[in-house]
Amino acid sequence: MMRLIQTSRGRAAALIAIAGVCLGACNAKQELLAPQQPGVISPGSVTSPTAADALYAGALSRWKSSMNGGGGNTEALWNWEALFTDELRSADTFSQRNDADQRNLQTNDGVLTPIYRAAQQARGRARDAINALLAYDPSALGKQHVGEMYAVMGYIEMAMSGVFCNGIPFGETVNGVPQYTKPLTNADGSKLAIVHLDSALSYLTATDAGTLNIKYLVLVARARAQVDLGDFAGAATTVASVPTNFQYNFTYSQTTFDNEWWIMGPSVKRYTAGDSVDIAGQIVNAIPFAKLGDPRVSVTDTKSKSEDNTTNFLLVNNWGRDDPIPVASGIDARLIEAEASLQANDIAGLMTILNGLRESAQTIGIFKIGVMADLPTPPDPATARSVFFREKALWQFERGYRMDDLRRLVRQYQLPQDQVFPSGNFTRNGSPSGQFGTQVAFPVVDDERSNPFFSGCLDTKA
Amino acid sequence: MRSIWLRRIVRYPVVVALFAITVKPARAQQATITGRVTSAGTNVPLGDSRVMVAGTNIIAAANAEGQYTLRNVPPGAVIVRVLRVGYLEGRRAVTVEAGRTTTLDFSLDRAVVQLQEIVTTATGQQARSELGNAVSTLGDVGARVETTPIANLGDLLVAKSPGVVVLPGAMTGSAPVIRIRGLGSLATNGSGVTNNPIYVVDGVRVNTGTLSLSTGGTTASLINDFDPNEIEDVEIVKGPSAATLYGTDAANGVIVITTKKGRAGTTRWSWYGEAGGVSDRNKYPTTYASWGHDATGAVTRCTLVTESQGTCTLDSLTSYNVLMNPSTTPNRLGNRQAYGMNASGGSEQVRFFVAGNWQNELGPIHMPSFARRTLDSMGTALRDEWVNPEAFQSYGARANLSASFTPKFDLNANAGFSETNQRLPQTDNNTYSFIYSALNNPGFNHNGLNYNEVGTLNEYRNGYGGFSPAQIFQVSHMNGTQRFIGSMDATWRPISWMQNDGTIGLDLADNNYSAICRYSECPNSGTQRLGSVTATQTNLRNFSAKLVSSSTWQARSNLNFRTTVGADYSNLERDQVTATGQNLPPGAQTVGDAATKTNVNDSLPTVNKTLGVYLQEQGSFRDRLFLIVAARSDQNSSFGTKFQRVFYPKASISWIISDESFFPRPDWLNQFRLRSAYGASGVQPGGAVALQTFGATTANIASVAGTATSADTPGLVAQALGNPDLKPERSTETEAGFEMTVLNSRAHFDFTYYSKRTHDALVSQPIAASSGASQLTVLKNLSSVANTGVEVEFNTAILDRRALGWDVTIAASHNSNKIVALGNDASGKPLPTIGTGTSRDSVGLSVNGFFARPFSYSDANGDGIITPDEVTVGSSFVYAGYSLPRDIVSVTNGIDLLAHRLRITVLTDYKGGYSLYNQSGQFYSQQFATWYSRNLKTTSLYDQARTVANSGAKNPSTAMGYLENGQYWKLREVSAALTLPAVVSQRIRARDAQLVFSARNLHTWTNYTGIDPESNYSTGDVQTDFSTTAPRTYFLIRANLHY
Repeated sequence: MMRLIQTSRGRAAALIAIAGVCLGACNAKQELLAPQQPGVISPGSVTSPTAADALYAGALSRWKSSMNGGGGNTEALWNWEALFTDELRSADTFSQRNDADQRNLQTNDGVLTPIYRAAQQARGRARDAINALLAYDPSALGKQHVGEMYAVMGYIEMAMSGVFCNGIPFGETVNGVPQYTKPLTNADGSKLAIVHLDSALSYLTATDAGTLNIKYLVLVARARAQVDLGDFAGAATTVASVPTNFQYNFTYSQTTFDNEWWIMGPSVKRYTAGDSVDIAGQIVNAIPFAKLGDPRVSVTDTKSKSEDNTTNFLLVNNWGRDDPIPVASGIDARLIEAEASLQANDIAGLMTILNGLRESAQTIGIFKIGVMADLPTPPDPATARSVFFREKALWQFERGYRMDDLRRLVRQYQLPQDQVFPSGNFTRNGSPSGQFGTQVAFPVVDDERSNPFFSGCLDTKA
Repeated sequence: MRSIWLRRIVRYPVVVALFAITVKPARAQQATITGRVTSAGTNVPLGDSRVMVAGTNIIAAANAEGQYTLRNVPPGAVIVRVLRVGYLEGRRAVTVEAGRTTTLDFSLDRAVVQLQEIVTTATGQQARSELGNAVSTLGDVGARVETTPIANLGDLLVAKSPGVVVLPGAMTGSAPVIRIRGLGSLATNGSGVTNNPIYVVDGVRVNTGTLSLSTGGTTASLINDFDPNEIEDVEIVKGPSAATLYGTDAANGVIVITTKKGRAGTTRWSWYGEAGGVSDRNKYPTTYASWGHDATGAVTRCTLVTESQGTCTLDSLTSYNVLMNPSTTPNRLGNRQAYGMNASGGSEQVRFFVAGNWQNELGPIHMPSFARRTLDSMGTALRDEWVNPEAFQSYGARANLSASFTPKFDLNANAGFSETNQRLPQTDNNTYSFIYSALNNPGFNHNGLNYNEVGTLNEYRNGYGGFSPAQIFQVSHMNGTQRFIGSMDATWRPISWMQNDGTIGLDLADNNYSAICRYSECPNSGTQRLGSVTATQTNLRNFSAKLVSSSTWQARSNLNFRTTVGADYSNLERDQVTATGQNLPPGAQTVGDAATKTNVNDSLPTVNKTLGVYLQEQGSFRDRLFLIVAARSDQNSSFGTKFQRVFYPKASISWIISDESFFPRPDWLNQFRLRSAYGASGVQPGGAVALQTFGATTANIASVAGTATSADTPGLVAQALGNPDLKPERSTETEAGFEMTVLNSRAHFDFTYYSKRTHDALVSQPIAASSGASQLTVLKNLSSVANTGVEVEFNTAILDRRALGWDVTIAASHNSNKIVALGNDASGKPLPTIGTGTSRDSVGLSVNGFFARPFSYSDANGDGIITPDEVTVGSSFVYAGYSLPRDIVSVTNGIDLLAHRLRITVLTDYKGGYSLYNQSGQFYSQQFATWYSRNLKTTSLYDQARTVANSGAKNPSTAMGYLENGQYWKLREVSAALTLPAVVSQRIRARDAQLVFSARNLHTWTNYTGIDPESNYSTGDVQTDFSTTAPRTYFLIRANLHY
């Protein structure tokens, strides 16, 4: 063998053999297979106060997009709620939008599924930010951000519990491993929201304007959860300190994404304002937002067709392309107090609050509402209830309240669903298409079945 | 010095071991064999014949005069074999002496059956008979391209090989989909895993992915950069049993393309010119309006259901068909031209092949004249890109040089450049789709019943429901790719028993895509007419390097061994920058001109690097029994940090048993070969999927929390969860089969059975959203998929007379595909199903199987109309079939007339055994009251019932009725190639000249109720037919001149 290698040809062969295999033998992974991925932001880059604040900013963005859309056709919870109720009608040919409009959603709906995901994942991003802020940013601002992130978690839990069926799991992911939990009833979801909102309050002890705004957001959200639980008086107490001119806004820009109401409305004409009539005739229970002419819901009949080419397009003017929209406001706080009065059968107190709001010019986002005349005092509790929920619908139009309110009318005020939700003949793209459905809640989507504790809604009641 | 070398070498026991295997005593002097290969009877020289010394690496190609020279032949008795397409193998034993030149001429008999006997493997060229696996070769691609309607690689591959499912692109230049031997991967978005085969051109791993050009679905592909006129041969390596040595990404097959090379001899020129028409001959559905009145007498639109329910009384029925009406349709006869030349020649020392090509194709979609008049009336100057939005243009050049510097050293340099420019119209799943607008017609073409013939821009829509083509085709999607594929390979034979090959290669693709709506152009929707532009630049860089060393050893006179050791390296890089701008000033068309830059995204650069080494030992006994064992090991940059390398074994046996003395030799049997192979290969995950990552996001947040004043702020969000244990999918395959040539070599039959099992298949394990995880799937090696099937090829010459010939080729295959396991869910229980939609992965069923709720119906009142109360939809989803064809058949008839001067070829193919989701029918019947099944009482009850079951009147509803049997027969290719008489060709001083009349996609026989069973815009595994056209029909005439 040695002699062989010493021959010139043997050496040549040896050299070639060496060349052939040394790539695998010479620690080549480090030399030839690196760098692994030059463009990746790795966990090692997310270990500083700046990175924690960036996670906070990212979480806020995800929360916003999970409630009022992420630009383009990326709809979210508020948008779908508006279609499901009488606020809006679907005006395009997407079967999912028409199904939502009809209250006829499948459990594997192609739009509801990402909406559900986005809301749950926004919770997760808030939790990521909390963990990073607590680890890397001990500053006062960091503390405020922690409070705001808890507010996000609580708000999402409250909002989802308000519109999805009974049986929503709220878990977490720890070190990349999902920690699944059992589904909660809507009531338990509201209680979980209150826990997180109380956690938020514990971090919001400063008195600067920003911290106060977050605190008021938390109080309004907490009160909403209390209302969902039937604790009307407690809710009123919670929001007592919230000033009427308070607003906590979602903001927009063309370089990130636009206000989804503008996109789906005036931009692409896939949503048209709700009205009490359509081509098929009367829509039972629907507030005629379009024809009402109320200054809180500004609608223009464009006399042109919507995206589906058949539906008359009724343009909602409340929101411009990048106009802010309030998640919570002092008006919302007053309405919570008003409902407490309604519940207490204090019709005079109710009307005092409702008329108090009407007697002053108000701003919702940057949408200005002038002074309105007082409403007459309703003669009986039933009329008072109708007046209250109508006023509430107008003040809170397209802000993620209406569906929860309609569910509460069924659950807390014992009205039949077909006397609350839009009902009767349904039109799809201008043609008769059966009847409105009977659903009163979004189904938790089939996607969630990857959670071993989840096998479908516990029930689909209001 | 020498001792240092030795010490270094012996440190590497592997090297020493390999060396010991490969080394044998060197001989002082070698022999030479030279000769000429001719056709028996005619004595015509057979250039391109491959002459080889059996059991060695010594191989030579005959030049244009049929001359060949084999150098470095070891002295003694050797067997020399000659192989050439279209001729029977020549084999002669000869004894050669050291230092002497032996002359050995061959006269080959013409084979009636055309088979390719030399194939290119990972270790070099090899006789097919030595391989235990099936390899499909397209054979003489040059002749195919010259005589049949082939415009791109997809055309070349469709219906040619059993086990290879090719779904052609629907539009001019759009992407085909190719799947081989079923689906082994549960490919999911973001995993980087697909069921695409990999492509190797002249030894270089090349990119064949899709491009950014996407107009609602239909997209472009890098596959279309290859000019078929430059291809010498295409070989399809079908599975792991054959693809082991191609490495860790080859489990779904390898398509090996060899470009034409120069031949020594007088320079030979070839010219071609091709022209013809391109048309869309599909039938598009008519829309209807049932005019009626309700109880109040108000005019309203009826449907069958409302008529039956008595809420609408029908007065009259009108109909219209925008896409079939000559005055409104955008379909017209498109055209295609292609021209090119190539030259081949050189000396024995230096040979060259150079080629150039140009092609221009305008698809049938164009802006109708009424729409052009609309723009004219608006004072808008027409652009060609609007008038002809479906277009493909390319040109390219190739130079392949081969040099034999010494008898021991050869060098080949191959370089190809191409530029393609392409446009596609707005189509498919897109509100600007011209098909969507056309099928949105109200059932008439005038004002009335919620339709205004004048749109929001005061444009005349002429029956289009959404937007006029005048504005639709103003949305310009343009794509350009500049591509260079180059390789250099050197062969060094330092000693007679050793051959060393080194190859390096590059594939560089620079792709530019832009989507433009200039100011005051495009449909009046959203902010479109304020002007918008998206510009995407994608750079793809592949680098490949390979070293292979083969040594042969003649252990006995009838026993040869060949040892091959090799290493290869590939680095696949991709980066992309996308920018979007809105609000353009008049005339502006760049992102820089836009007032608002809405999105600038330089997406994650990705790299995927593989380093592999392999060893193969081949033994051949009496040149009739061949055994191969091999192993390969790969490292890859995308594997998880806890996984280092993967090993793939391989073994094969090939036995020409009919050469054995004990084997009976009936007169009708010429040759019978048994073969079997086993091998493993893999599919590597995408570049970054093993890693835990964060992503940057810009957040618009309030300056003071909650206030309306805000600013854009840099943000971060968690993205991928990562998986440090990630490893490649591993597929093992066993195949067995036989080949036999019978009836005086007039018929050849090839049978293969394969069983492929994919282990550790990558699954995007779903994560429930309630966990709040940043990514709701994590890629894991959890699944197992089984594919089994049979493949049959039969070639025969039924007639082979001087004046008349008739040959038939039949290829057929059947595949059974089953998910064996999907791993466990979060609680540790076996996961039965992944997916909640129409297409799901479920254990025991096919990958991407279709699922839907069943329905039943009964016309209870006997009125001939199915109403919602007469339809029952089941509550549970049930399996509704394969989504990929299981059965494919192709039948090629070749008829030679006029003393073989006229050859007529007819190719018909079949696909079946699967379901197709007719999403167009599902969507339009559900969303539009104009659909035929909602208006025509002649609609079958079943058709009405599936519409009702799928409608909003049912909850749950079901699309089951639109999961249809996808089977079809298609008259794929018809061609007539006429070789002109010598007197004609001589007048133009050509050696020979040919005129070819050909047509593609002439007719489809099917019960599928969609546009066409090949309607598709997806490049994934599930065919997607939604507002989609179908492959175009071509009528071409071509002239081939050879000098």
